[in-house]
Amino acid sequence: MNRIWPITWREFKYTALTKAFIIGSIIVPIVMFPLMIVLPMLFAPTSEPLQGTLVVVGSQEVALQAETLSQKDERRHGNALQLDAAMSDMPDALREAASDPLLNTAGAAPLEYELRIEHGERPMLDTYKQRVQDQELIAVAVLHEGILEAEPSAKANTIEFFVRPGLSPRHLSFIDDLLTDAVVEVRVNAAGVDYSTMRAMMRAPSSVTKRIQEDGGEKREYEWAKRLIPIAFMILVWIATFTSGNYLLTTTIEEKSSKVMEVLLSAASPMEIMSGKIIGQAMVSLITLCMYGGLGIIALIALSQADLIPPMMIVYLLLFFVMAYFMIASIMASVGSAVSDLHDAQSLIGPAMIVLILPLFLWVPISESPNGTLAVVTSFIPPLTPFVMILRVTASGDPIPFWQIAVALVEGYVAVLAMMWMCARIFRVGVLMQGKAPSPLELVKWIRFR
Amino acid sequence: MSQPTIRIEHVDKRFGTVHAVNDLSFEVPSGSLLGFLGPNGAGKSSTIRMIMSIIYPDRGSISVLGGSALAAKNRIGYLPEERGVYRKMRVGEFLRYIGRLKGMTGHDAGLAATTWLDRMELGRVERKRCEELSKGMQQKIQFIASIIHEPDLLIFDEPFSGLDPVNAELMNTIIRELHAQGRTIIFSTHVLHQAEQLCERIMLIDRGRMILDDTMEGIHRTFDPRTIEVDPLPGHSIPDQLDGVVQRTATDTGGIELHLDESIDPHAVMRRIVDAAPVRSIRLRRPTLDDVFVMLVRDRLHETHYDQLVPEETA
Repeated sequence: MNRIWPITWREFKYTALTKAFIIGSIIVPIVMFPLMIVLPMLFAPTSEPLQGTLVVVGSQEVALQAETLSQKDERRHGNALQLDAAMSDMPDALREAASDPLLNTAGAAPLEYELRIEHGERPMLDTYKQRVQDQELIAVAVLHEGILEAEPSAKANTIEFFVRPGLSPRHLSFIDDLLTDAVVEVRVNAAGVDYSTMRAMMRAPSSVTKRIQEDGGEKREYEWAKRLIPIAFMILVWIATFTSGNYLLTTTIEEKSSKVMEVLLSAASPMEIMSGKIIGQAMVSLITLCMYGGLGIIALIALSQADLIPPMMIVYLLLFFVMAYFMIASIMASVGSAVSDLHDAQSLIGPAMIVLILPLFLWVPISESPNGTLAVVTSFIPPLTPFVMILRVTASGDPIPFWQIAVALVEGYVAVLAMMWMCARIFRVGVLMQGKAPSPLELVKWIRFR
Repeated sequence: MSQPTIRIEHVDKRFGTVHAVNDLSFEVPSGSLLGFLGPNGAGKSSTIRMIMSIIYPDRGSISVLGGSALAAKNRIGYLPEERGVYRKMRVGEFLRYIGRLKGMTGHDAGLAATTWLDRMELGRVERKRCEELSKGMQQKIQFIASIIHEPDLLIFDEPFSGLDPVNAELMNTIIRELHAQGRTIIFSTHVLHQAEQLCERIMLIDRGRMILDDTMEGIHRTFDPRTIEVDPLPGHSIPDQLDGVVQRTATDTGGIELHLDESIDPHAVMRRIVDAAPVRSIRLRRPTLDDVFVMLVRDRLHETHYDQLVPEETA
């Protein structure tokens, strides 16, 4: 242990206490979090108020209808109303956050306008165009003949706009939507149907799901969370383990290529070196996990949704994270010890990565059917076990039978021990080897080498 | 009699089809300064790695400082042939790190690092990153790393490679001092004249087998070429007939080499030469380690025991 600790500390220090790591893995997530709020402000469409006169040529009814529509609240606050509808299934806190005046101004700012709409005659079209050019009018919209028929032809169903120079795309889009809606409403009214009533009737009902608890209580269930939490947990484990796994790979290759490995071997055994390095990177991995996981939990607490993640889920996260880390670390350390450069490492890691990337592709079927055959079978195949199990235990569907969790834990940790043993066997031979990368068959020989 | 620092008995090591070390046995007495020599691929590094418990023998036993090297790692200093430093680490920190791996406290390792850096004329580089140093400076840093914990046994594999003559002399001096303090030192080198200057005893291995194990004095005696080199003054010549001279050869520099009979006393022949003609120089040639190395390794004469060997010229 006396020799393992200095190695552990060096590995940790030269990975985690470096500018690259502090910026990339600590500062960036911390900055990204508020940026997620600030960025929409930066990207929010802001434009000058739309002020002026729009002339509609071809139908007085449409002009009047457009004038009426433009006065409605629905039109004035259209974006906010759409956002509200879209968030109907979101927790109250999220809805409150989204309707915060600051956010509202930033993300869904309605267009301010003061619009007069006049009807114009076709023979005067050239005059209107001249007035548009002279900036007296915002635009002139020409409705083609037959546009108000019940079943207009494609040619007839057209509105032609002549707009003033410099009219912003957002203003044009607003006018376009306004007139399009007005044309539709006039058509529907002409058919003897009240458009407002029809639209109200066609509004889809929103659904609220409540899960009956074992104690008889009811709990609101959010579909989006059910889908997102498992993949969020798995990606968290994935990022934390693979980030450190890659560091482990590169530092081991560096120690071999810079010939410092034999100096280390004169002071410590291969097992001590490997253990020190793996423990050091485990600390790095834990920082990454805490960093990203912690930010997620802080966000949920801020949104009063901490109950989406029960404490047992955190326990499972830690258990399967440790399992995943040691599996990935043993693969990376053994490959790092066996090769002399990163290029050779890629060819050895490639096949393993194809297997390890599978859970990323399977997250939808596994999280939607956590007790399905696919989920159960892949749970017991190391090194997929931790990644699949974290998807299953965090999916909010039917509970996973406890025996499956217990078997996965036992089987997974036995696999960890076996992989660590094989890694140690490869490591002690590999660190002394130079030259071409070994084939998988040679790695097997190294494992059996006395 | 004190226990040897290293005892190797019938050690065998194979790498696939290569028989790297073949039934090797030897002892290194405590406090000795030993040159461990051999051609490339002779099995030196494999033997040293087995002594260090970096690899293990297929057969035979190795005892270092009375037990396994693994248990005695903190008492051994090792400068491997394939050596390096952490490029991004600062020099002082690197030495403290190695010191801590060798069982020192951080404080003691720091003090020792500063002391040794000053001694090696590297005091100004303690805060520099290793990658900022020249190759020779890095070599000296690695040398310090191998001795920082004041080990009882020191193993240097090619310690002088990459050093200029001034620094080689400095390292030479330090090795002598360490030896004078009673430490056992083994070093492997291809620079044979340095081994000759430093070592009390030489071991030469080839193809994994010991072909020579003797003191320098013994080697000089055994491989005495029984040759006198004489350079007469201009206008004078050495008599054609001299008792005990079996062959004479002209040298490129105008001198003469006289190869002597086994039974004759070389000093008597030298006196007769000086009496017969004035000479610019005359000396009895001593076998250099280079001569012995080339003779034993190149000609593969070690199939017979070296005691039975005589120089080719007089054979």
